[in-house]
Amino acid sequence: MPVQHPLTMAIAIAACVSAVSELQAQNGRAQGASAYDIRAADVERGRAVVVGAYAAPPGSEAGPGSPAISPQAGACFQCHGMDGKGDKAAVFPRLTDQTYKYLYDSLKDYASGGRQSAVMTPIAKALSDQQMRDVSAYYAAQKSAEYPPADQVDAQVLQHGAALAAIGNASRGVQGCINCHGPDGVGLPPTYPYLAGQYAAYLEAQMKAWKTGQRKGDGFGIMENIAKRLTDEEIRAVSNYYASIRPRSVTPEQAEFAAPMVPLPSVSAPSLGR
Amino acid sequence: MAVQMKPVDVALVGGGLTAAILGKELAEAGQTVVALERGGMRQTIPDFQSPTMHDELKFDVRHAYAQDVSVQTLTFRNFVGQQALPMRQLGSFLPAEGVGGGAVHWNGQTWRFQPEWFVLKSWVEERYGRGFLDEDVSIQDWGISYEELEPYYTFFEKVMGISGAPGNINGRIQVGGNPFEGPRSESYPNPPMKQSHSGYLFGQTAGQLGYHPFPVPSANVTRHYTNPFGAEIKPCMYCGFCDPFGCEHFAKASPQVCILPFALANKNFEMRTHSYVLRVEWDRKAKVATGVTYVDAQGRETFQPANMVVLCAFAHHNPILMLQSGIGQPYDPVTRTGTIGRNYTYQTMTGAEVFYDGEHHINPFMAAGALGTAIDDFNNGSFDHSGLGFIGGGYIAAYQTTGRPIYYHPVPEGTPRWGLGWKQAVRRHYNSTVSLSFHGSSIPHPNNYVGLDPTYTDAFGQRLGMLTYDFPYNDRLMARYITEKMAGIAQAMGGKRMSVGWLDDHYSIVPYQTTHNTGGAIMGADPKTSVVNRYLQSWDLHNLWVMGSSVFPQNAGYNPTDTVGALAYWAADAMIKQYLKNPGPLVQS
Repeated sequence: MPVQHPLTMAIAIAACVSAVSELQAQNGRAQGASAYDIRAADVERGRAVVVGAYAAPPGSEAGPGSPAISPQAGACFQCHGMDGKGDKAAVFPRLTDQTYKYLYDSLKDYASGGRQSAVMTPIAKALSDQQMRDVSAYYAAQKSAEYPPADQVDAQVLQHGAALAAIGNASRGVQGCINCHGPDGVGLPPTYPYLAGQYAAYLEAQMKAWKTGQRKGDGFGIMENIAKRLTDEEIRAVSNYYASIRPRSVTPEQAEFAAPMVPLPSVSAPSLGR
Repeated sequence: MAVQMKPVDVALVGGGLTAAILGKELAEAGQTVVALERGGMRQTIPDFQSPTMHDELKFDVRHAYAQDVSVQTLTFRNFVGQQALPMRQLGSFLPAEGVGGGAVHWNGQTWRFQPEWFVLKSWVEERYGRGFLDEDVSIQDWGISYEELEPYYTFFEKVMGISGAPGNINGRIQVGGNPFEGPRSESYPNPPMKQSHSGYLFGQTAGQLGYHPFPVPSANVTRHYTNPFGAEIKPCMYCGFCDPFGCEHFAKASPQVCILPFALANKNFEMRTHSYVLRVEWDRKAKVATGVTYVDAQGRETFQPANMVVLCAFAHHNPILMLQSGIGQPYDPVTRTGTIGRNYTYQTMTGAEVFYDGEHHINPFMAAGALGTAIDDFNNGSFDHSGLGFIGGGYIAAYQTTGRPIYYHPVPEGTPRWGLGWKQAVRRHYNSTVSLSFHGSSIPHPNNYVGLDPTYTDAFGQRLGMLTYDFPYNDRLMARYITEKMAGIAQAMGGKRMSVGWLDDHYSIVPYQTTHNTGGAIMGADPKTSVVNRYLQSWDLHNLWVMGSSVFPQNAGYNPTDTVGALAYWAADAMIKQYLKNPGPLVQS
């Protein structure tokens, strides 16, 4: 009982080829290999954006309805610092050494409205695509900034947060954060941002933004789904946990101890029976 | 004296995919069900969470989720007449151990068989004539048609949230799907995976050559999805740790994610772990199974009485259990009589690699078990075998399943096996190589079967199962023909160099090839040539059933899971709607 496959060859061939191309294109924001090529960005131009010394003031590109922003008012360093340290008290996130792709995506999401923020939306809208790339490359290139002391948090809250980070919550169907954000919250470049040392209030605000739909755009709705399954208490716990972690580092002082092996002094063989 | 357990309605041997399917359905039909699993319990949380889960050494190199061969293994030989020797390490295939079975650590490639596979013998005779094949090619019809199985394929794919591009909906060819598939009644429940760059390169070339590329249907689910039972499956993150790992994201369809929570919540169902089944007990006069004997977690021999026994163990384990229980007539390769162990088949795999030497960034670490672009132009029903001297076929795919550091290091032929030269080659080729694979069918041959070993025993003192297998001439011809086609595509893909892995030697149990073992307790319409009827019910004992790929009369050029799942739902339907109302043979022999 043969089953015929009615093939209209020419049409099917053309259709299949174009379908595969479409599948490439459907890949959300990653539409071309060059979209995330950091070589298209320039750290020094980024520094100019950060200090507000634009070649073309971003306020001049503001669309209808958006107030023009003066270069100084939109200067990144005023809130995020030149080193990207941010401001813990004012809930401005740490950007130091964050991944280029994540920063660039964030700016695009602020500009498109996928991510809503009274402060960042107008600034992002005022930036050109090139300026977004440059400023992202600048902060991605900042390798160190001091960490303010973490808040004093009840040890049980930290313990709760650590458990969520490591294995999630089985009853709510939430997987551990560690699966994507890496051990100790170091991140998984280029897609997944680091969480270690990020400010608790900022992390908490972002989780709540995912939960309420004010933040979208991770491509799969995965953070939105996770945030919606978590209680506010769990969000607070896991935010404080990640804020309390400092990335592992090898300081120059420690490195000096890695001295070459010195041979042991020779000793005479002990006599048997003594 | 064996420990005696309280009788149950149904004893399931094994705790994997088919046991989860039957456990849930039969418990909901009011039956008391116990699943006897030789391994332990495991769940997405905490067992599959990273970084513990991403331990290549433990799970891939040391096979943490596979059968413990120090307890029980198989002996192997290529030919009747050779001395079979025990497999003291796993190699060619990896039978699973633990709740969820192989459907925990599978890749998720979820293919339907083309309609021709189910009626292979009559199809070949009708299309090519009776004398087309050598009489040693002992292909058979399944006793079931694709059309009968189609609704069960559809249901299983909904349970698992399969993500793909349909190629044929009710006879209408669909753009972007597999035009050679059998008609499906509806689309996949989820859209296909985002295709990898390797798949893109393969698809472009294959399309230019006149073939029909499409995304491989996947159980790595592509979006938030709720299955018909209410199970929530999450989207795949393309982390590249599918096989042989559990999925940390609830994103790869498995019994744990899709089915088991609903079975375990039913008071009629019990998953009894660390229970190693030794044999099925049966009444020689009444010709019914009375239960199963197993060794429990404390090492005690235990008898579980049951009204119905279902074998849900690994493919060759099911016929081995029947042989150890003395059920049915063992297959004899010399006289070619008997049925238990008959028509053991495998899968015929070859590969090719295209080395771009840095010209493309493939990013193999952005991967998933079923992330692939395939063509089905060389599966059995897709092309004309006239004058070729063989039957069968398979699909060709560019899979991007993983870029893991221990596992994945493609290097051209002639590269040193270790040392500086090897390291330099890995560095050069890791990120710019595309691997193609041919996933070919396997035709039964009278030499190839599952029996009991005359010499070696397992930890319980029972005779080991014995596998006799070599690639039949038919399959070697078939593999050569299609590997040539694959090499042609690889050549046209424009790499700096390429390598082709031909099938040019006897089957070896040592290097990993695939875990797709099939046959040994095959289904069919005639009790003389099959072990179970079209409902997977034993011809010998009407209350004994066999699940899984054990029942395939021959293996198709596809991965078996979709068909295993569909057949389990088909059998469950027959049990509940027919058998339980009036226990007895559903097909008269």
